[in-house]
Amino acid sequence: MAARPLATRCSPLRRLALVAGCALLLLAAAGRDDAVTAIKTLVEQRRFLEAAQAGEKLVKERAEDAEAWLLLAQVHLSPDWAFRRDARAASAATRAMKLAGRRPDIVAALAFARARLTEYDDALKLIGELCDATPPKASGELLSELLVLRAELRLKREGAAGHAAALADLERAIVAAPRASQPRILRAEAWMNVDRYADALEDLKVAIDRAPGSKAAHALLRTACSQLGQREEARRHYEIWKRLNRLTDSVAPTSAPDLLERRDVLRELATLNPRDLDRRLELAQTELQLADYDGALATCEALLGVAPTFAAARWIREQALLAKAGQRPPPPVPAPASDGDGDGAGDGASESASDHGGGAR
Amino acid sequence: MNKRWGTAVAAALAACSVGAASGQERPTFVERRDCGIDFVHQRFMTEGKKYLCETAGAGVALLDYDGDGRLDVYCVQSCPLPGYVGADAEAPPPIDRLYRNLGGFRFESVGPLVSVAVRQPDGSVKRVEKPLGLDDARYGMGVSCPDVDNDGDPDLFVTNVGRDALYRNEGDGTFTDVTLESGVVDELWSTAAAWADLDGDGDLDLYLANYAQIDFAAYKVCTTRNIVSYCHPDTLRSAPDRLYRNDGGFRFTDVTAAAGIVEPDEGGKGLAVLPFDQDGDGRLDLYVANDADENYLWMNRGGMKFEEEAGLWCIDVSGRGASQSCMGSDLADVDGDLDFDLFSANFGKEPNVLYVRGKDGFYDDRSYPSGLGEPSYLFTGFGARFFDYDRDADVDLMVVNGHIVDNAELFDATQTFKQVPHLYANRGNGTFESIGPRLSPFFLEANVGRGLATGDLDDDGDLDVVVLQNGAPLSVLENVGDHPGRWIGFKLVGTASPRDAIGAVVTIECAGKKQAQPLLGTSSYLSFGDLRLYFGLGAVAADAPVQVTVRWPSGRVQSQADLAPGRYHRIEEPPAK
Repeated sequence: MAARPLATRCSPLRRLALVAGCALLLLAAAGRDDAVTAIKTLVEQRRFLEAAQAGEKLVKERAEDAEAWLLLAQVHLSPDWAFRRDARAASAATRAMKLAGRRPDIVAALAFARARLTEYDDALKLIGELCDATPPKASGELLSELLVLRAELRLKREGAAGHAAALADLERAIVAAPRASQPRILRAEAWMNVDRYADALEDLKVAIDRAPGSKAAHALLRTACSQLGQREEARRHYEIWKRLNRLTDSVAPTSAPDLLERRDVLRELATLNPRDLDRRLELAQTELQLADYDGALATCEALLGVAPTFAAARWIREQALLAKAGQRPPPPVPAPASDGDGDGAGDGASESASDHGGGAR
Repeated sequence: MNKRWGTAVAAALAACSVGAASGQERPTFVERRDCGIDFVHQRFMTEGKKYLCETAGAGVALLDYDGDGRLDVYCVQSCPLPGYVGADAEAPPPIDRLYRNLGGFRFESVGPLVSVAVRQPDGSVKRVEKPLGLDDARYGMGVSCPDVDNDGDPDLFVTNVGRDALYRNEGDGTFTDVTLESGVVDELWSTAAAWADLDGDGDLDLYLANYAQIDFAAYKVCTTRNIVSYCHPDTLRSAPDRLYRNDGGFRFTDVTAAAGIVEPDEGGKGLAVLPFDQDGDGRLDLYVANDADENYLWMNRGGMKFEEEAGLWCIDVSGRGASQSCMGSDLADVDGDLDFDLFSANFGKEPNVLYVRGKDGFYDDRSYPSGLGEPSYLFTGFGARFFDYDRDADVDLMVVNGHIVDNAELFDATQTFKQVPHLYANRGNGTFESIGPRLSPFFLEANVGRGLATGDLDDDGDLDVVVLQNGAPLSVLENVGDHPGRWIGFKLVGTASPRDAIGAVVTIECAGKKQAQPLLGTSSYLSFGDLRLYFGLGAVAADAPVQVTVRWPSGRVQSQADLAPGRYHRIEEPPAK
């Protein structure tokens, strides 16, 4: 299900913030802007539960601030959060709308939340309000994401009957955000539904060019290549997918990879999928955390060879050099991919990992 | 309106809507609470603990244990677990139950003592009372009924949280627990047991799916917003699956490691296993549906060696590459192209998945295009079985649902513990429509569905359904529909192959239409259905000849022509030439 989340993709600047550690940011966050930044950083670090708790605190303090409510909604729309609360996303977006009116970004957040709650007809009305106006009330990436969501709902609910309309929405989505990968991925799925694997492959090639670390794109490429008899290529995408999945496939630390395994997986990914610079940066960061300074330096050098202006890589390289010279300890180990409290704290209780009731596995 | 009246009114309305919607005088399925089966599953919930196994069971089996030609019913029960303080904590634990089919849709409970005919030295026959021998009182999960020793009667294997139980059918209406001497001594939380001749020696080997390592003494209590709830499976370490080679004489050897059954990463939490020949090399491979993790496909390389290739064949995860919570599973040709497609039921907010077999045997996730995705999205599916309920010559699908979290609604307004079951009618082209409420009020009644098995309980030429509901009475659905189509059935008897012929593939042709079915034995969720293969033929003439081809597990191929519809045919594997 597409969503309008806060981004968790590893852009260089975001990685900088991640490496610096959010504790420092939280301490520094005094005003509203700082609190907002801190919440966004928590989301980037995949510390969703803390982000949601900080969001609740923020809306309590600033109950008449639409931005605060919208931010809370967006936290709960995070696609990678297994235990998000869709209903809270909807209620927060509704509150934001009461305060700020039918602003496109707020209407969009509510649309995504309604879709998550399987209130599809409501979601479609909201999407229509933004996308079908002349001119559309949304544009660019937001318009694209809304159209992708509508296309997805059509494909899921109407099957073959919704195929043509979904394709039309996806065409618009691609025009609205030519660099976006999601419309291409969904269009590839639509082609695959009608056995047009060659067409799907074309879209997936473009998508993977835009998002080399997309798990979904690699998985679909595996299937499309398999059906087209391209065994080696299918296998290659499967091997990449398998490693990407291992990094994120567990919601509990008991079965999530530890730092050493993460490093090994990321090293394999760097070889298998060298165009995925985000994962290579993550490898450098992981090596740094493991005090493998030579490894981190080599990874950063390789990255900078490909992308000489990669600021985050430069920063990690500096940290590795300093740490190697004994001038600075390695950065703290970040929270695991889940909320970090999934294995229970103190009383042996687990919050996040127990949340079957959230139904969001 | 009080709850009781509300329920009654709802039932009445449901009955009306069934008749009105279907245009029939009576529903297609009638729940037979008067059939003599009084089994009530008990989940024995332990206050404040929420052991994950409490809402996971249990299974049900259909078997002809006494050789009278009628399908009997075996129901798996649970028992109190450490810390249980219920009013019945001190009572003797309940045991699994066996119900004998008396014919005419009447059943009677069997045991604990049974009357057995014993031949005396003077040649006369005297009846004596013997223990039935089925006294498993552990926390039960699944059941399967393979003919382990190829002696022509079904034996019994019950999976438990803790040691499993293997019973030898003595052929006189009693069983003997042979677990310890058999070598199948697994103390883990076992779920599905698939029986298939994996080494080609003519007897059934055992792949045992294990779920998780559960330590009742140190069980972690999980909470969400200060509410005690069932833990996510990821909080429990997976328990490794086991592969046992049948050495004959009810002796087994654990060959898991030697066979290469080495699970990747932390290992999967297996809930269903299906044996079938994925690559057409004449050897049976094994699909394992895992909960909250990637599925497995153990490819049989011969010599009891396996390699895991689910990812290669695109059935490890959803089409988009997301791990699922695959539970009950089944295999059938849904689109009439004579190859087999795979189905696994999934957790709430994951659609059930249908992997349609395509070019060169690679699969594609067609859950949504098939129509099975959207109606299942909010449901947690367990028992799942393809069968042609209306004899229209294509396989339909039944899925029983129910969340594993008994207070799910506290965390997600779209979720409930009890959920309605689904019946999806095949439109004839591999796409489905959810039509359960048109067929029976049963499909309007929310419950916690788990085990599901299908079989012709009354030998009237249509398939009936048995559903084991967690913490509730067993549901027995008699198929009473006025189906205009013809049918034909087959009882396979292996000779070089295992006598049960599990792993055989039967292809028929009638009036120009071909159909194929695999004989799986264990399928659905923790359950074991009728080993007779049943085909609806659609609207053909009463005397339309049927041609059948059996590909036996031994590799032999046998054809017979001009078989008559409307009856079960016994086909025995021919001797080697």
